[in-house]
Amino acid sequence: MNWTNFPFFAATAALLWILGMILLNFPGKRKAFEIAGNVLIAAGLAVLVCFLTLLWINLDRPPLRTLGETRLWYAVFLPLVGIITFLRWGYKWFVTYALLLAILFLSINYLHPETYEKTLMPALQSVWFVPHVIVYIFSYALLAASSLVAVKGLYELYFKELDVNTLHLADNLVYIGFSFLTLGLLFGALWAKEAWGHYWTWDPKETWAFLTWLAYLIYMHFRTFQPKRTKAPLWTLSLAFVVLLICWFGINYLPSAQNSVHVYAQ
Amino acid sequence: MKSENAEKKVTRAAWGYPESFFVAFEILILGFIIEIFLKGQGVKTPHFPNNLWPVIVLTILMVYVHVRYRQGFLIKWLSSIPCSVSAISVYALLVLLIGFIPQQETHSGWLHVTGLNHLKNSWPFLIMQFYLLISLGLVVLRRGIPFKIRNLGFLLNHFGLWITLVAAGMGSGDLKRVTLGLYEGRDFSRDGVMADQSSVEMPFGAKLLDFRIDLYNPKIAVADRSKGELLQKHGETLPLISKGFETRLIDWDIRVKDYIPFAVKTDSGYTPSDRPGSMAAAFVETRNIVSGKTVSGWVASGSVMFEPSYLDLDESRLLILTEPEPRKYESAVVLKDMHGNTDTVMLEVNKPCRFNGWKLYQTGYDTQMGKFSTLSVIEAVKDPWLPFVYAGILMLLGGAIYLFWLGRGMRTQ
Repeated sequence: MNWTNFPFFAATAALLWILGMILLNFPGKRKAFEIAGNVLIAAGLAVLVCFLTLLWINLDRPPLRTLGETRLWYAVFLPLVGIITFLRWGYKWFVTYALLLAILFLSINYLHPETYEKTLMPALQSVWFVPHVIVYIFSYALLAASSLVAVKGLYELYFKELDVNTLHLADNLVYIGFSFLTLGLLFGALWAKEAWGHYWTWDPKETWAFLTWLAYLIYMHFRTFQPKRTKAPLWTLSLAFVVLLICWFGINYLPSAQNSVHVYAQ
Repeated sequence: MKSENAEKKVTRAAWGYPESFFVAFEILILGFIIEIFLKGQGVKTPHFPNNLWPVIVLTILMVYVHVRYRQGFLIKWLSSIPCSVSAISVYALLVLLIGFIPQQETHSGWLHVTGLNHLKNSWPFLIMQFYLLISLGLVVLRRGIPFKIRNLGFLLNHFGLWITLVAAGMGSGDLKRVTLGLYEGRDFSRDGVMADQSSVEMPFGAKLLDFRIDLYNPKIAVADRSKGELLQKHGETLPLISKGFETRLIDWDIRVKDYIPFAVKTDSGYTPSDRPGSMAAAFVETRNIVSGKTVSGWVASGSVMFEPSYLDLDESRLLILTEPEPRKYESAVVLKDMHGNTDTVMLEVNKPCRFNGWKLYQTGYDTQMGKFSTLSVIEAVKDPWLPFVYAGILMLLGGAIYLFWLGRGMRTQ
């Protein structure tokens, strides 16, 4: 089992998700369709989890090192966030968004496979590796989702009427996403102390991770103070995602980041 | 009653976001003015006890103004959200500059004079952080006294952040990071090198007993002769080889007949060797799946002393063996302090050891010599403020879990 088998698994998962989306969004309120849709989406997710597990076993190391590998995790976590959000708050459109984004990640991986290597450098061989990265990926998936909600909110704000529930959904996602973001950042600091001797060195990735954290912090404070004001927090949330994206992969292209210890994928 | 309400309204309406951002930017500009006035020499981080006094004075001052003037306009505003948001935003702006401008000291030029290439040690950064800490500290006091259990999550997050920022910032002056280059076969050494390349004598001696390195097997790949790059099929993994290994790369079936992890070249091929400079070598048989043509011979990864050797597959393609990557490396080190107490430790990446208040890390070796390196680079770190930083981090961890648990529940005020 390796990346040469990926197209099969990805196509199966995507097909199940598309069918699930169609059933879920079928006009009219039919409970049976809704349940069948969710089952299909969960089945697609299971297929992908299978691939991820087998890949992990085959590589003999956690598949968390390259961008392609992390994209795979997003494709797993986004539908999961979608399903949980649906079960908790019942937003159908949100499941659709999450699935489309997951399919996008799968497509990118299909079109741009990288060099997948089995080796793992000593600095990454640590008990912190898996929690640090998984917590971050989960948090990014939630925050990405919250930014989609923010864009929807902005659209409503300028072209329709802002639905108060849109902002509430964004809040919920940000609060959970931010708590995971904090865990990821702190796990990173504790790991850095073990691996490199200091918990904070202003490495470019650290700087941008901190900046991402501050951006969402600003959003949360905005929302607490004047919950009735909507424009500024919505824009903040959209921009915060830009910072997150720079932190996630834009960093590979920044002149200030050429010596970063986080640039692993060649 | 009526007048009290009116007063509340006035105070609340008086300073919102515009005024707060105005103040925050004024403070930022003030910082830059000081930095430029001092010709960009930045802030020298104070050492103990000079870094302790500001913390104590700041804390006492904050508690005093909180107790004395907590209803006053200024203190109310300083612990308000507009003030926090503006302080975080302008602070984030400075972090953004750190994120874009390479932070390398040049000692001249406008980037140096304005402090932009050493922002984390500059006046604007220091003053902004100070401002942020005052606001955050007053917020903690307002919510924390008297303590209510429903404010626990809030306090874990805010007070945790305050402690972390103070301890990390002030403690940086007392942080010692010393690099020790130890060689096998040499006696105890106390020579260390600080981050600024200055020499320092350590309070203990260290002696390297043994340096060991474990390597992954090398990878095998087909390369383009003229472009000099590896050829790979859609998403294929470069395989690690071993004796008897078989695979298909691009258009060739490959079989590894013999594999020697450490070999030297002889007239008849390669033989195992322990000599420095020996390299990975493999005898491979290849068969082109299109033409059926077979080629066999030795490939070797090369080392600091010897050239690699390739196998010609056809006019434009070569079979190559990559240099093995390190799987793990470790050092057995004996440490001896001034009283003659000794300890033997095994250092490995991600597995540091303690000795007399120092933490020792395996950081490097002579990568050119690889397995035959007799040099092991060790880092010794001492950070007396670390327990406070960890206390802050622990609180933040608790706060994060609280945030997750309650979600938006905690902001129903």
